[in-house]
Amino acid sequence: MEIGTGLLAIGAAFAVGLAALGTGYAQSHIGSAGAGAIAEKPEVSGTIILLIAIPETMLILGFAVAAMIILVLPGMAK
Amino acid sequence: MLLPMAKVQIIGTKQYQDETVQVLYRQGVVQIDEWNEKRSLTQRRVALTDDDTALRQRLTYAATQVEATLVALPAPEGPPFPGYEDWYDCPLDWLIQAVEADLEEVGPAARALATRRSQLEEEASSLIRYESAVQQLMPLIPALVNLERFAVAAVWVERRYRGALELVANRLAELTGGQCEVISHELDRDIWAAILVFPKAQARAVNELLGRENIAQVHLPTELADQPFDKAIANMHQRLQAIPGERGEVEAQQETLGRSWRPRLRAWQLLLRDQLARIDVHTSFGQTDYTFIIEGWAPERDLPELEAALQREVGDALLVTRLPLGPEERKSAPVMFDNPPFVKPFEPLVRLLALPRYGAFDPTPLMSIAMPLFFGMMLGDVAYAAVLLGLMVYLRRRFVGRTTVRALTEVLIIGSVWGLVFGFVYGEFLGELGKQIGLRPLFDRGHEVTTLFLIAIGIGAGHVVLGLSLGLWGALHRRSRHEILEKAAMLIALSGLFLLVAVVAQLLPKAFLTPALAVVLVGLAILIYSLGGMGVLLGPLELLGTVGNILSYLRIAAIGLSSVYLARVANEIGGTAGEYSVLVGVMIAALFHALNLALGAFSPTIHALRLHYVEFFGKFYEGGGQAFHPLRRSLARRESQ
Repeated sequence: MEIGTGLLAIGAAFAVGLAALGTGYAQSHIGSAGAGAIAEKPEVSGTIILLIAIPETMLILGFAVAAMIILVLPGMAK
Repeated sequence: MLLPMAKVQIIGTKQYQDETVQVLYRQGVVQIDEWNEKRSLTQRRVALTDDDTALRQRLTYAATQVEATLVALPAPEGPPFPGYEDWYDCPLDWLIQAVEADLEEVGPAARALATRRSQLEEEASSLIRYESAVQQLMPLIPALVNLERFAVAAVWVERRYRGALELVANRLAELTGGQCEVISHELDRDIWAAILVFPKAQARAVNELLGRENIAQVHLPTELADQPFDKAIANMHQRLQAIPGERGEVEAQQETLGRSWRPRLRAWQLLLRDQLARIDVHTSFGQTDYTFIIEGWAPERDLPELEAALQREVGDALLVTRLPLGPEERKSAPVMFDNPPFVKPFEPLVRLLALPRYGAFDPTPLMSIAMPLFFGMMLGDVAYAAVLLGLMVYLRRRFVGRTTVRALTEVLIIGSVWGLVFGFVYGEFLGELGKQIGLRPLFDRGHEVTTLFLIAIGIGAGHVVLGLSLGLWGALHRRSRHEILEKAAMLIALSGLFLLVAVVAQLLPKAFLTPALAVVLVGLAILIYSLGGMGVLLGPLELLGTVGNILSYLRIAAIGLSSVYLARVANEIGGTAGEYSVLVGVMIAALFHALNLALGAFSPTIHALRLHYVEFFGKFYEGGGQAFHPLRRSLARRESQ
């Protein structure tokens, strides 16, 4: 395996890993606050699910960037 | 769609008030509004008469008794006894007497069983507590205490308050003239325990002393109080072993009694609640000296039948008027869905976010198409979809009476069918095993990742543009200039962006580059103008946010790919382990596939929901509607469901 391929893999891992850490951090805070809110007002469950799901876009975009690094960059290099 | 509602006013002479209410209950299509007393000086709110108040009290008492008996008869919930609807038209005295007769028959037995069960539960929990406490205190007890003359009390205190034990020992010595013994010992890091031995004659004084000092006593159960502690422990063991059997017998008796009585009691409960509501609803009416006035809401389609029923059963003495709907009335109009059966399961999902405002667009039909499609695209595996389909069909049959669970299973059934379809399209069966068993993929998502991403973004673009178009339609409907400009500008800017992408992807000639950029800039300029003072900042952010919304649909591809890769991992690990032991290999693969299936059911549901709530609904949805709650008989309502 060439060193370039390894560096691409590391780059892709950082893209998705850091995005996952960010998403997890945001979701942990929203989740704990949301659980408290649902305990007091069960009718806000829908809104809380929505709020918890919002930061996941970061992870999805991180995944897209990782996929582009692996799929598109090698082709551009050639 | 949402049913068009009509605001109705019914005016009649007071002698027909009860009959009118009976008809409204039977028809079950009118939601009564509270009478607004500030509206008129000559019209006032109806108050209950003394007779009605007395009757209400009797009904409330009977309903409470029925509910208490139902609580005492825990059993699986079933439908109420059929054939009780006739009681709606019987005099309330008869109803109360019939309920009381039933309560006399079943009440004592139900209460006795409930009391016995709670006694056994209490005894078991207290014995477990005593047992551990006594086990720890055993070494402290003097062996040769004559328990016929002396009483033994075990107490414990937190370590920081152990000084109180010395105080108690001194006070005990004073009380008993020195005829006492106090032995204390450290039980664990936080608790100190002590055994107090003193003459039985002083028991009351000692109890008072311990109470004053706020020291917790470990009381033995009464029947074991006079026994030496070692014998007491043996007896506690025996009781703890016997209690589950006794409890099982009581529960079986409760279930037998519940099976024969619960449906009947449930029917009484619903009847009594309805009759109470029927009395209470009078206080929502307005009145003059001789007439009553009812105002409320009814679905437009039910109005002719309502008017005909009132005419038939009450006669010409009533005046039914359809009131005009001004902007204020439209704001307070209740909302009722009217969708075809295959769309209905999606109504709770829309309601989970918020009910649509009256007059707004109901997105449920669109959701019923797109959500299962997204789910199926993400799941896309013949084996997973087939298992999920079977499981959901079973759960749907299992939870017939639970509306929300049933709706959710129906949503997942439709999603699983799409999952099957896409499973064949992708050629997946437990991941890539599909190809080995002869499935030929029409589109191999595991290898054509870039195309999959483009498809996902394309779907996102279509869905978001649809949402913006619905938003524009709503804004035109409301004649909101600022909203019309905002939505139209966003659509123009997005069109320009799509053209730009097409030029960059060499789908359009380069000559389109300048017009595409111009379209984006024109759209952005209108957007900035429509957003007012902060438009320069907010406009580009809004456009960026909408592009983010479109990219968010990449999750359709991402979730699907993660499922493919996890299935591949399951097969490879299972295959590697299978080289040593086929059974272990199969078990490991089954475990991973089960995990993937669980994720495959959960993740696509949440993400398909999120795509609707955030990306799609965010562009047009107007929530804040109030549910339609017509005056209706509960028993009839259950049957109609």
